[in-house]
Amino acid sequence: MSEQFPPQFLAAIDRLGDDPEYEEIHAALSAPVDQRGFGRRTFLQGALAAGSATALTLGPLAKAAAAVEPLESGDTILVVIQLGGGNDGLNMVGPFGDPAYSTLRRATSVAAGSHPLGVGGLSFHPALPKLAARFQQGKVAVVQGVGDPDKDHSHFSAMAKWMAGTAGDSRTTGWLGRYLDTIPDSDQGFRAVSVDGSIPLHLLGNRSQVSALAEELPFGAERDKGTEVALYEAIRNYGSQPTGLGRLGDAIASMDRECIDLAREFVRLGDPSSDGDDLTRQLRTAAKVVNLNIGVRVIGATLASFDTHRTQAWMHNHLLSDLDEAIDVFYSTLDAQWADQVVIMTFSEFGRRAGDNGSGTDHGTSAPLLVVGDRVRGGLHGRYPSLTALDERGDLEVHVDFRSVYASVLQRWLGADATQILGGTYPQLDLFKSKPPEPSQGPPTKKDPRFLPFDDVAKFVIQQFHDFRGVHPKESDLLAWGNVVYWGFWSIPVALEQMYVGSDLYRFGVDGARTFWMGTGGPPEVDDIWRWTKMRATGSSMEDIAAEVVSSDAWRDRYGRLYGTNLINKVHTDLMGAPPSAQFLAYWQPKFAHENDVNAATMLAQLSMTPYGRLAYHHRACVATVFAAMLRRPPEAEQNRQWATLLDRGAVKLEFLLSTLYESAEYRSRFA
Amino acid sequence: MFRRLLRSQEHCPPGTDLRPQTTGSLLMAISRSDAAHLLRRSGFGARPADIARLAALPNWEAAVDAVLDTSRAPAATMPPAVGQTMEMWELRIELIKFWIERMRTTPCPIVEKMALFFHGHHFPCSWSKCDEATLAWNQIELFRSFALGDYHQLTQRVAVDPWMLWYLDNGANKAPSRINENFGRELLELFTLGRNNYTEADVVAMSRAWTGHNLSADGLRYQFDAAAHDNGQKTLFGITKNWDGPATITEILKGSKAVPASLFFVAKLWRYLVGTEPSATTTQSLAATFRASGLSLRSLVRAIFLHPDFRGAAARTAVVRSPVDWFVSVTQALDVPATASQPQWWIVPMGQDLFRPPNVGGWGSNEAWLSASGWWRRGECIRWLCYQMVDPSLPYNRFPEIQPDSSPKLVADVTFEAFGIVSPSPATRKVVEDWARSVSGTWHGSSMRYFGMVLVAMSPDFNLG
Repeated sequence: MSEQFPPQFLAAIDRLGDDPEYEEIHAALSAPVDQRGFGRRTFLQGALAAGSATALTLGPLAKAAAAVEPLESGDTILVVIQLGGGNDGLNMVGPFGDPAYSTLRRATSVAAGSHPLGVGGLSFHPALPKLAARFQQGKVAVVQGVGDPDKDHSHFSAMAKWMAGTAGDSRTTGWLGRYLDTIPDSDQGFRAVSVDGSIPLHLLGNRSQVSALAEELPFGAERDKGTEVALYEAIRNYGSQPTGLGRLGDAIASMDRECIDLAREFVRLGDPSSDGDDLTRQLRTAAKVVNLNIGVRVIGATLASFDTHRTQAWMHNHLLSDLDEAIDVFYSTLDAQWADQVVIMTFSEFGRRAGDNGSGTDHGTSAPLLVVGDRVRGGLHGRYPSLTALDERGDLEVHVDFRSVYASVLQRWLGADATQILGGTYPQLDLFKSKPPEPSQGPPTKKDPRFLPFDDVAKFVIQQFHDFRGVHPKESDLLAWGNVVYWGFWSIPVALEQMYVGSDLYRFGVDGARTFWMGTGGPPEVDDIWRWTKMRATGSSMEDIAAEVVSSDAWRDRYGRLYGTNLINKVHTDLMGAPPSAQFLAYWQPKFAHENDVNAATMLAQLSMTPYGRLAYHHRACVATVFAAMLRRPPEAEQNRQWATLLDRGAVKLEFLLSTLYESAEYRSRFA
Repeated sequence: MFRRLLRSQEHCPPGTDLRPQTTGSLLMAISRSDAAHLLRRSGFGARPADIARLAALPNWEAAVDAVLDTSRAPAATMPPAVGQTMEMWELRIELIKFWIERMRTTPCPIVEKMALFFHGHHFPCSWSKCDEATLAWNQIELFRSFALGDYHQLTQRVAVDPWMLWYLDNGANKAPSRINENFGRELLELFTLGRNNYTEADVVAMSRAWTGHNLSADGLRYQFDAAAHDNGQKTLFGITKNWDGPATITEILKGSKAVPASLFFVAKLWRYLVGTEPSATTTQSLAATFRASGLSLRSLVRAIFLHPDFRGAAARTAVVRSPVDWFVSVTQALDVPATASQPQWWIVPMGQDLFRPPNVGGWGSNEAWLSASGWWRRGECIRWLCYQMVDPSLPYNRFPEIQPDSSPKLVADVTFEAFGIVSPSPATRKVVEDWARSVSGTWHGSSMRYFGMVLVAMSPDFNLG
C-alpha cells in the first residue's frame, strides 16, 4: 500500500480482515474520541451547554463559553454528510421510467413518477419527498456522475481516497482538515465539530482540532426515563435545604445540586433521546451547534449501511427516508438568520453497479452527489452517465472527478485556496449563486484578570494542554482543570506543574533531552524534544535517540577525534563525573574495535538510563523541556545549567521555574 | 494548599501529664453511631455486621482496640500481575485493582488506611518518576508492615526505599560535586519537621549526610556507595560532626528535634483521621504520648481514637470521603469485587490516581474532591454498579426485601443500613423517603431497589467519611 496514514490509525487498519465491513473501515479511518470508552464528551459540549444556558451555575463554564469567538456574518458553514458503504446513486436520483433503467434494475427497481425533477428525465427516490420539494425551490444542486476516475471498488481504499481528498497518495489528513488548518483559531477546537461521536479522516488536519459530540452524557443529563428524572430530582433536592451536617455536609449537598443542574444543560444540545433516526438526530444537533454561534465552520455527520448487496429495496428506502427527514429537521431547527450561511453536501465512496444482482447491488463507480442550501445554484450539474454505454465491468462512467466538487466547495463556498489544499487543480463547478454578505465587527470578549495573559480560565487551561501535551483538552479535562484552577484549589504554579508532570513531554521528552544534554553538554532544539517525545511514546528505544545525539556536531566536536579506550574514558568521565570502572572498560573496549558510532550510541543510551544519569541530569532535561513547552525555544546553555543547579539543590521547585516563565515578558508576548 | 503548616510550635514543659483525657463515657457501652464513625475513620465503609460487632463490646476502649487488632491482616503479597508481560498502564491497573480489593475485603482495614496515609499524604512517591511495579508495590507493603509500627524505623526504611530513592533523586546524591538536595529538603520540610524548624544550612548538611545512599546499578535496590559519601564534618541543627543519613533521622525523631517533629506528625495524622484542625493542647498531649511510647504508631492512633474530640460533633462532619474511600465503601456495601467494579475507570477521573499522587505534597482533601466532573463520576459509577447488580445473571443481586410497593420508610431504612448510615440527618431521610413515596407502587417502583442505592451513595451523609 503506497498511501500514508496517520500513525494512530495504523494498528486499526492492520487489524482489518480480508473483507471488512463498511463500519469496520469507518472505525479504522476515524480517530476515537476517548479510548477509555466512557466520558467521550469533549470540551465543546460543555461550552455549548453553557452558551445555551441563561443561568449559569459554574463560573468556569461561563468563562469557557466566553472563550469562544462567534462567527461573523460573512463566514460560511459547511455540513458534510458521509453516506458510508457506497450509496446507490442510480436509485437516489434516476431515470426511473426509462426502459434502459428497467432492463438493468429488476429486484431493486424504483417505480416511476414519484418526485420528478422536471429536468433530465430524472426523479428523486420516493423516500425523498422533502428534498424534492426543496429542489423545486431551487435550493438543491444535484451533481451528476461524480466519482473517482480510477474507479476503485474497494471500500477501504476508495473511502480513504475520498476522505483524504488529495491529488497524491498521502492519507494522513483530510481535505476539510487541511482547510481548517488555514483558518484562525481552528487549533482551539471550535471551528469543526463531528456529531457522530468519532473524528473521521476528512476532518483531520495537521494543526486544527475537531471537537466531537458523542452520545454519552454526564450523570443527570439523560432524562428520557421518568424513573431517572425522579432520581436526579431527589439528588438535586439534597441541596435545597441546610443538611445539618456542617459546612462540608452543606458543600456536598450544593455539589449534588450543581452537578444535576449543570448536566441538565447538556440536554438542550446533545439531545440523544430526541426523535428521529440516526442521521436526523445528528443533523438536529448540527443545527443547534450553528444556532449557538460559537464559530463552528465545518460539521461532520455520518450515515452508514449503504452497502446494500442484498435486500436493497427496503434498506435503501429506510436510509433515504432518514436523509430526507434529517435535512428537513436541520432547516426546521436552524434559526432563520443562519439559512444563507450554511451549505450541506453529501458524499459516498462509490455508487453501485448499474445492473442489480437479483437482490441488491454490488460496488460500482459514479453516483450523484447532493449540495443543499439557500445560496446553492439549484438544478442539475455535471452529466448523467449513460445507462446504455456502460464500461467493460458494467459500471457507470465517471463524468465529474470528486475533487472537482471539493475544489468548488473550497474555493467558492469556503473561500479557500483549493489548489493548495487538494494538491492539484481541478475544474470548478458553478454550484453557488453567491457568498453571504461580508463580516461586521463581533462583540468584545469578557476578561478575568486572574488568568492574564489569558482572558479566562478556559483559555488558560486550553493553552497549557496545547503547550505541554500537544493536544486539545477533552471536555471532562477542561471541566476538571478549570474547576480546580478557577476555584483556587490549585494555584497557577501548581496547575502548571501538574500539567507538566502528567505529560508525555515529562514522561518521555525528558529521556530525549537528558540524553542530548549528557552527550553534548547543552539543551536540544524544541522540534527534537517533541520528536523524541513521540518516538518514546510510540516505543522507540533510547538507542534510536542516542544515535541522533552521537551524529550531532556537538558530540563530534567533543568526541569525534577519540577512539577506543580514550573515547570510553572521556565519555564516562564527562557524563558520570568519574572515570569508568575496570569492569566497564573491560565490557566496552572490545566493542569499540569496530563501528564506533553504533557502539557510542548504545553506550550513551545505557549511561543515560543508569540511575545516576536519570537523576543527575533530570533537572537539566526538565528545564529544556519546560522552555520548549512555554517559550518554544531552548534555554541558553548557561541559563539551563543555572536553573538545573537551583532545582538540584532543592533551592527552588519546578513550580517556581514554571511560574517564573509564566510571568516572563517573553511568555506574555506570545499572547499579545 | 498541600503544605498546611503546624500552627503551634510550643513545646511542652517537662513533667506535664499529657496522657489523653478520659471521660466517663469511655466506660459506657457504645452507640451504633459511634461504632460506625470509628469504622469509617479506622477503615473505609461501615458494614452492618461490623457495626454490630463493635457495638456489642463493653466500652469504647475495647472497640478501639478491636479496630487496631491487626493480627488477621493479609500477609505481604506481590500482586500476581507483577512479573507478567504486559503494558505498563495495564500493570498499574492491576496494582490498583489489587490494592482496592485488599482495602475492600481485609479484616483489618486500619492497615490499608494507614498505608494510604503514608502513600498519599506523608511519604508520597509516584509512578510518574519511576514505573517499576515491584518497587512501587514493595513500598506499599513497607507502609502496611509499619502501619501501626515504629515510626522511627519506618522513616529510616522509607529513606532508603528504592522507589523513594528514585522519586526524590537521592539515588544520585553523590559527594563531592554531585550533591542533590531534593531528598534532604523534603525530609525536613514535608516528612519530619515542617517549615520554620530548620535552616538552609541544615538542608545543605542534611543533603551531604545522605550522599552515597544511592541506588544499585540496575536501579532496583538500595546500595551504599562509600566512595560517594561525604565523610566530612557537617553542622546540622548546630551540632557539628560527621553526620551520616540514618543518624540525622534519629536526631530529628528521637534527639534534639523530637518535640517539633512529633508535633508536626501528630497534627498531620490528626487531620487525616479526625479531619478537624487540632488544638495546641491536643497536639501537645498526643505528641507527648507518642514520644513516651517510643514513637509507636499504634499508641498514637489509639490515643487519637480515644481522644474525646474524635467523637465530638465537629469531627463527625470534618471529612469528605476521598474517591478511594468512597469507591471502597460503595463496593463494600454492594459486595462487588474489584475484578468486576473496574476501579481504574472511576477513581482516576474522580481525581485520585493510586500510585500517582500529584506531587511530593500528596493529595488534597475535602474541598479538593468537590468538583462537578468528579461528582458526575461518582454518580455514573454508582449507577453503573447498580445496573451490574440488577442483572440476574450476575451474583450481585442485593436487597430483595425492597419490592416495587415497599413503604418509603422500609426503602430508606434498608439503604441507609446497607451503606452504614446509622443515624441519617432528617433532611437526608426526607429526601430519600419523598423520592421513594413518589415512585413506590407506580410503574417505576421496581427502581427503588437499586436507585435507592444511587440516591444514598450521593447523599451528604455518605459522602462525609
